[in-house]
Amino acid sequence: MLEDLRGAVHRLFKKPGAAAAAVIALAVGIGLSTSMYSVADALLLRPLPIPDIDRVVMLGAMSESDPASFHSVTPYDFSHYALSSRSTETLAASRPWAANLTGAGDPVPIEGARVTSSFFEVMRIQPLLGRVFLKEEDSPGSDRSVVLSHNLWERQFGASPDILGRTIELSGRAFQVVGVMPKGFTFPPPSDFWVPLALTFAEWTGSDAFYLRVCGRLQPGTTLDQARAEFKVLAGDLARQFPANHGRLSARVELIRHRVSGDLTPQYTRITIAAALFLLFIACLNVAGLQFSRVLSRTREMAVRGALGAPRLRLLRQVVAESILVALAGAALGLFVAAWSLDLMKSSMPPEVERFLPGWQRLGLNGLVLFYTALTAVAAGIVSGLGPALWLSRTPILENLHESGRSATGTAARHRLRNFLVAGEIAVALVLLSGAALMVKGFRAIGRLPVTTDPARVLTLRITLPQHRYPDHLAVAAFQGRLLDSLSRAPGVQSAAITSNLPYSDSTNRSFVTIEGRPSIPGGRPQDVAQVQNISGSFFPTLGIPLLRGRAFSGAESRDAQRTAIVTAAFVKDYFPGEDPLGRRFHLGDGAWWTITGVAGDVLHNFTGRAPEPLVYLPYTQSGWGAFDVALRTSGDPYTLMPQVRQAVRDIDPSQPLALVRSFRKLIDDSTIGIGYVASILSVLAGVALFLAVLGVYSLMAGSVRERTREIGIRLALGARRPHILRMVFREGLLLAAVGIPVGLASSLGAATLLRRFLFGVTSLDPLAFVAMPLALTCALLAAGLIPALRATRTDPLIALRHE
Amino acid sequence: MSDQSMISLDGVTKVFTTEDVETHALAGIHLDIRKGEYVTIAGPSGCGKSTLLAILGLLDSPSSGAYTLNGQAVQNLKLGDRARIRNREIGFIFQAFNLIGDLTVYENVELPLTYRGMGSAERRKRVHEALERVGMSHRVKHYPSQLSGGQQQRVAVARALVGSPSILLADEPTGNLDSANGESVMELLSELHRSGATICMVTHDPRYALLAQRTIRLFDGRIVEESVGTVS
Repeated sequence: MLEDLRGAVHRLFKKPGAAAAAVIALAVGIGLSTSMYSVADALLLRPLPIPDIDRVVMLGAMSESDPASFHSVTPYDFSHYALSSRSTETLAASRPWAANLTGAGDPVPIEGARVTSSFFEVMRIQPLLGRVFLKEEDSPGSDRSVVLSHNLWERQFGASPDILGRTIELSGRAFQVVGVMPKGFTFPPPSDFWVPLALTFAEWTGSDAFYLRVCGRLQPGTTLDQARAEFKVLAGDLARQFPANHGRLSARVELIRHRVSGDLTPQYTRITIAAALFLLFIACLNVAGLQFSRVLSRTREMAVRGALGAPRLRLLRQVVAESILVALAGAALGLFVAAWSLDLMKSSMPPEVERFLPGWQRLGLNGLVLFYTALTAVAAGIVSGLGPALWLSRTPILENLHESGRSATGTAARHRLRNFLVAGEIAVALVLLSGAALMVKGFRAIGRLPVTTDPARVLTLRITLPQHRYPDHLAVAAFQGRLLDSLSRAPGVQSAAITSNLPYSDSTNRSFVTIEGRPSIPGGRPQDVAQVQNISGSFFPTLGIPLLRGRAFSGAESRDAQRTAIVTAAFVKDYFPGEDPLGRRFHLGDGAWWTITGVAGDVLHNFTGRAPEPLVYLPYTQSGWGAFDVALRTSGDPYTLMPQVRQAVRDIDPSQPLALVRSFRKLIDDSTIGIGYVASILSVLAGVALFLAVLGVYSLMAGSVRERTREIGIRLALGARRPHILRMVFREGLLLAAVGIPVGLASSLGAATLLRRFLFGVTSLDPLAFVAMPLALTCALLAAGLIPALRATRTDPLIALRHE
Repeated sequence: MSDQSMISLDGVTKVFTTEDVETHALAGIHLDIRKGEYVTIAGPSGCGKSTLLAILGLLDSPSSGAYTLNGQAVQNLKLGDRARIRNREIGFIFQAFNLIGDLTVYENVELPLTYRGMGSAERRKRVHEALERVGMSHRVKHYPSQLSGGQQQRVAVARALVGSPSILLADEPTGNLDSANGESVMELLSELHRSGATICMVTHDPRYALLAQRTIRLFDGRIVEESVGTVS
């Protein structure tokens, strides 16, 4: 083997140009594939630095009518599970808390979680500094400790080593810093701090409010299925005990790494890995073509070796060793490509999105990724070398020994394998091109979705009022009223609105709907659900949503007056088809009746929505919450309004910070960044694939022209003119396209079917993908063939006839 | 140029220049070949035989001098015009046969006619006639690799004949053949000559040179002797 490798090195250095081309092609393929694997490793395999992560699960409630649902549980549920479970070592509960960090310069909105002391036991992560929570800190009154994330410690406290024991203020309440977690740990994302949950006994016995998130560590040797079976039985106990609100619920247990990745990230990652592997395959085919040319020049040598008794396996090994060597060199160079592309991805990720991607910070080249790279390189070496090696080892020895004595030219058999390789490249490149075209067009279509009119002229921000200073609805509504009043009068503001959640803000609130005079839940249809959004009267003009019928909220609706609601066209279509909805009443499960006073135009709340959901708007004065979004429409750059907004808030409450300040356009862009990444990555991969396919066709045709020099000379001697030769060479390229493109089109249709669920605003049979891309590819291939074809026409017949 | 000359070379020279060295491959060649004549060109290696044949076949152009083919000056034609004349007026027979391996016997013979833009029915008729003449009509679907050297050269002769050229130019046509096959091919050329073909052949072999009506000996790019042979 060592001799084979030594020989391979020697031969590679003999023709460094061809070797360099092969190394570069594989470097791009292996490098991009490595970077995609690195993303999968960071986001899917090890999103959190939790030891033995595959034993850590999340437990939630699941609606029997919707197996994909994953709801929080009640404190009573948690207690029942914690006391009864035998499949888990430890269970922990948490609840998100959006707090304002005050008392350390300007107030800063931060997100964290209230957790039981068992939380860190489940995670098994030792703090970087200090300690985690003690059992006694689970009790109310002993719960003023806080553990900081590494990120918050660095960002807000300059990574001060004296942080332990320091008192910080969270939403006006004092907490003592007892620990700092190591870098990369943020759970539930995007937690920046943890405080004890410390529920009272009365709260622990509550079985109505579903607000706790549960995680746990499985007993050693317990499988996920065993845990699922056990919690299903335990959920059955709860359903029997509380049939009214647990009757249609079961338990759902998932690995924590699956839950934290969300629904779309794993699928996006799979798409990009598949695309990168496709590209690597193209690179392998390309290198196989180059290897084939090298092998052709060694037919005589191999024949001599064969004649001297070399076993076939030995000959085969010689060629494959050369390919593996090329691939390993490609992998070494590919690591630079991977590092560069990962840096590019990291630097282009907005921080406000990165917070929601556990593992993103740890994106990079680690041992596992390097192992993947090495494995890929060996596989690529075998794939690219095996075909030429088999061809060579099967060629009859005698024929090759007399190779140079031939008196008739013949290339068809030699070209068959290379033609097959290049046609394959064309087919795979077309799959990538059409897939990328669909994703890019879909992504652009999302950008054009009629969410609102001119979102670039709207400034948005989020305000979370601390409960201890705004304990009831009246206090919240008073703050909101003053803020709206102040902002509406600010110079440059055309209109100002508040809402519980903006479209595309990744926050939704759904509720069961019962129409007056129709069966109520339970017993009603499970799909009787609508989104609920609290708004101020100016919401529609600010966001540019049309009010189709009835009247907008005046802003004077009081909690004691008749409760009024505006519904969307989709709501009317679902609940009042062919009926007049105005004046009709419904309730949202809490017993209060809402009367419909208007109908608004539909609006998509996220790009994955194929059609607008039914939506109910309620006046903020009758149903407001302490956490809300503010939207301001202006005629110019919305960011110029920021000083006035800050001042307006400061005038009302100087300790109140603003969060997520950005234009509505930016908010939409941030929410679609995942699909944007996929579209960009696919575009790059498709571009490289196109280049490699073109290079493949060029190499093949250039090689073919070189090999057919003598034949071209004969044809010229027989009276062939330039157009004849040009046609002859081009026909070869066209034949490759004629085989590769239909195969690619058929494969693209299959790929488009798989991609269908990720395509928004575009059909999977889009003409761009299935007409324009094949045409573009054909043109590129013809252009690739032009240089060799023109070179062929300049052949001197006299020289050609002497060519061997 | 005499009235009956099909080919006339007048003071043709060919000089190859490589770096600082000038090589005079042909120096002042005067040669006439009449219609129906069978001429051989003989001489030692490097005397300019192949260069002369290449100029006669319009594969190369002279450095100076005049070349007239069927009354037309052809020494300064453009590439396309030379190709057209090569296709219609000249039939090549090479030492290495130069058949195209990926084409069948039929397709190889048909090739010059396709460059002429001839209709397929006419092409078929002519190809079959040509293959009949060389005795290879039973091998139309074979590939060159399936034929012996002698058979390949017969196919090459058929390809040279198929376009009814004014002259057949043969460059050592027996050079790659054993003596039996070589004689068979020479017999074929003699038959063609008897039936009116004009042939100009380069050969080393004095036995075959004698088959021609006239033998021209070259030495250092000059015609040093012309002799009349005995045509069978």
